[in-house]
Amino acid sequence: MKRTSIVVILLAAAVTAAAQARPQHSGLARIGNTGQARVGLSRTMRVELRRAHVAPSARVLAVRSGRTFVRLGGPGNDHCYGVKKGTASQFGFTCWDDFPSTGHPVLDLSTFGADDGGPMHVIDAQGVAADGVATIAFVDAAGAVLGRSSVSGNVYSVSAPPAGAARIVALDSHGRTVFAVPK
Amino acid sequence: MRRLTALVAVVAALLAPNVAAATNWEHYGWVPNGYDPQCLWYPTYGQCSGWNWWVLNDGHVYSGGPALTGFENANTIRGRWTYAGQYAYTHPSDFGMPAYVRAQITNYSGTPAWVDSWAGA
Repeated sequence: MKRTSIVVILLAAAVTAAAQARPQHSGLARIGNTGQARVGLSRTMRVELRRAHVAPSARVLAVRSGRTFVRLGGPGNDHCYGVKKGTASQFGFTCWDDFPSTGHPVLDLSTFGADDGGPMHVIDAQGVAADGVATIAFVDAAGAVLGRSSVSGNVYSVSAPPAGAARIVALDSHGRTVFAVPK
Repeated sequence: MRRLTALVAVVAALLAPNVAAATNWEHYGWVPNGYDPQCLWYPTYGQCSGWNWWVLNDGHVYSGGPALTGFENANTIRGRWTYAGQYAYTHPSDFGMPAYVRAQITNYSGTPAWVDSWAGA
């Protein structure tokens, strides 16, 4: 009987430890938006995708502010996401096998840059985020939050971010930081 | 037969300039990787191509970083932050830049990155 009690206590301790070891954030390794209609790709785009060993197939995730967000590829190789503006023939795209994951819940497609010797900053903000990412925040070089934008349907898109934004920080529904670009 | 030979010569002449014009640039190794005078913006942190009508810069970060994959000219630098394990396929048009630019990959994150940046024109 005493041995049984010890085993029960040990099992309870193991279960408690496992529960505590579970990641605090949920939904960071999942994307609910699997894409809607397929979109046609230009010949140049298909060539580029084949060169990247990605099936030349695209499903629309969202259209925001004139930008089309797509998930590219086929079964077993669909960890590529792209965006294009207006009637552009090509998608700029990024492939990342480790997205979405708790370590990498955001696949950022934003443009960063600088002009005429000025500091590097966010030119436009756009990307794909896991279900557990609720908001993105724009942060200046000193760490001050300049503005926020919500993530909807796993996509965020801000064509005119606040002036002086140097980083994009991804937050969960509790306001906790889950990723930042750049780190 | 003579007409066929002439036709083949004309076709070959038409194709030849395209083949000769196709060019590429590649940096496979570390960034930062010492001073690169080809870089107009961050010569101590980046690796850059010469001037060309670049169509694509395919930046792959194997480890470290992140690194900024994109393009630059004298007035402007643009790119996308690319993390370890990522492949970023960027075009000058993605950033609203003219096509006559330098391809660049830059890393001032403080963590050296092992990368392969390949640009095609």
